[in-house]
Amino acid sequence: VIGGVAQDGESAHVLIVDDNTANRYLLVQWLRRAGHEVTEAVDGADALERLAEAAPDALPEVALLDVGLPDMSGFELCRRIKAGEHTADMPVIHVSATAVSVSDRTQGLHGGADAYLIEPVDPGVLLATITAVLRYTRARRAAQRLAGRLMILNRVTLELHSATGFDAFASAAVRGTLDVLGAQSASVYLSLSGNPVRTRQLRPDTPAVSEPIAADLLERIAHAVLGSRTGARITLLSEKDWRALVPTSRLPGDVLIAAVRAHAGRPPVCVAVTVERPPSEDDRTLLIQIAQACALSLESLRNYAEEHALALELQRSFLPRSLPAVAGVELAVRYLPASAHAEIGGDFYEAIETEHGLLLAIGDVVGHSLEAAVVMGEVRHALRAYALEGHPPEAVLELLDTLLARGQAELTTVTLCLVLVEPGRRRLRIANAGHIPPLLISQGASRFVWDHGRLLGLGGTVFEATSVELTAPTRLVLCTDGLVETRRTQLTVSLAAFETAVRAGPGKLDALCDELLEVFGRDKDDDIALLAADLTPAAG
Amino acid sequence: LFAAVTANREKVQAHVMMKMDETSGLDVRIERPDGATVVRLRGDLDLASCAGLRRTATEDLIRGLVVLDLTELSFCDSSGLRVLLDMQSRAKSGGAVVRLAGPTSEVGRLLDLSGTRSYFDVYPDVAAALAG
Repeated sequence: VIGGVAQDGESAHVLIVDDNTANRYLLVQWLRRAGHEVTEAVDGADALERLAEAAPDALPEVALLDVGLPDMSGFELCRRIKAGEHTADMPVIHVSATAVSVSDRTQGLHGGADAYLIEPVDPGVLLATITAVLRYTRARRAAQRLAGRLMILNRVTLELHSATGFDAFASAAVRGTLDVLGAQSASVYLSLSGNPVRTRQLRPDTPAVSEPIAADLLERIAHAVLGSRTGARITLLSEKDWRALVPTSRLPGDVLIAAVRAHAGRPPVCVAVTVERPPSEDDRTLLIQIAQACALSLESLRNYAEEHALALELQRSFLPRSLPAVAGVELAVRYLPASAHAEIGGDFYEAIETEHGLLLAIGDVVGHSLEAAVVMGEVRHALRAYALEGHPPEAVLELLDTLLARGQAELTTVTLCLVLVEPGRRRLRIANAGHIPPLLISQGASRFVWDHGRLLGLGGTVFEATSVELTAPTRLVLCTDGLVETRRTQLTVSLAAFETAVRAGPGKLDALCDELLEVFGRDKDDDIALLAADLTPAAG
Repeated sequence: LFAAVTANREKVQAHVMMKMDETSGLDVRIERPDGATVVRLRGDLDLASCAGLRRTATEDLIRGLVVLDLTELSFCDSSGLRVLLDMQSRAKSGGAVVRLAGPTSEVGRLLDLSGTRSYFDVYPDVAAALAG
């Protein structure tokens, strides 16, 4: 709770337990006159009952116990208070009405009491003792509370950083603010892709709701806190001033607002929270830290979103816009980016008409994101160039291997399978550099062509092509590992399932591709490329 | 006495074990028995976890004989393979020796399918890899 721990010197709530009405009256008068709030109990059972009834945040802060109670000794009551879940750290002061021996006093102190007073008690001594006992109890409580809140802040910061979408981020920000500050309602104002958004949670048990806000509202709030500066600041606004600034806000009461602007010209982040009591220095520090964590992870979320969009665009632009129309060859291709929040991969397909026939290709640049998309573009351009120069498939692989091995600071590996459909479609020349094997189906029989060489990128590899004679219409299916690789499943097992699905699949190529993606492509954290071809050999 | 203390400290340091990337599903431990380096990989070496191994595989690590213990590596994808290939490639150009020890059948299948088995020196277990 904001401002929840009383400060040093503030009045306290004191529990007085004494069966002697006159004594109790006297103690109560002294304490009330000094500004303290008092709860009275006449014996041990009465005291325990009152403590059990009190809400955790309305418990007395300190207990003043008469040692000689009728139902139990003050020492026993003290022991029970210290054993209570919510009262374990409540300081206890014993008051003894009769002259006591040193051993009684030490028994009390050993039993967990924090002070021992002997009647007649001087009012000044009593008040000073309460102040002293409270001073270290309050300091300890504040430290414990801060430690707990810092742990929550830590968790919230992690959640913010691991959020990969705006919705997850915004609700982590609002929920985190409520958790760390123990507040009832909070709003986070920020801008994503130029659109200012407010996310608010009005009660801890309701979900966070995001909505677009007027374009200048975010800047207005930030200006009220930060002026035109960069950095982080915090300010407390009365309900009236807050309403004047944000008429559409539904936060009740006074509002504490932290605003962060990382760089001039960047959109600010503002976190506003309802305060029921004046916020402590810790509250302010924590809210600023939350706002800074939000600004920082929002920046990386923005970069991520921008890079993701750019890589996806690159990837798409590198894939062929149209496929060549070749007599006796029907083609279908698919590309599926990795599931929503994963990174961009470097899968690609290609179909190039050359003087030696139609060259079909499927490949996978290892690595993800922008880097893989860029390498993929380079490989595809080089592949086209080498193919159009008329090199046979195995030579194209060797040229690409050399190209990749040269001049790369870091090893870049690519798997690539080339299938040359010779004119007349009576023969295939297959050259495979470490890629998933191509699948062939003809007249109800299917087989993978397993012959392959090393993946591309290490340099110096010699490739050979495998010839496959086509005597009947043949279906060829090429895919990337994103489609068939499933963790904890042996690759041979998933390939067998894939083979079965292709064999049992629809006759139409497009329908087959859709079905394969539907069955094998769901919830994969890798991208998927698929190329299928129906090849009809020419007569003669 | 000083020499003895120093020698002892080196011995302790040589047996220092590192544990990292607990969240990423890959556990990397490095031991240095008798001057060789044994890098034990346990768990999944994939796109998510390979960055950790890549950071670990510095020039300082790839010196002399480096045995990559794959006995407990249950999964490796093409990104993981790329890091292993990169270590081998740097060892070859830097005069170090990298040996793979005890790949599981799934990791072995990846080596075969990618055609990279012969690029590595593969041994059945760590003892054989250390003996050469």
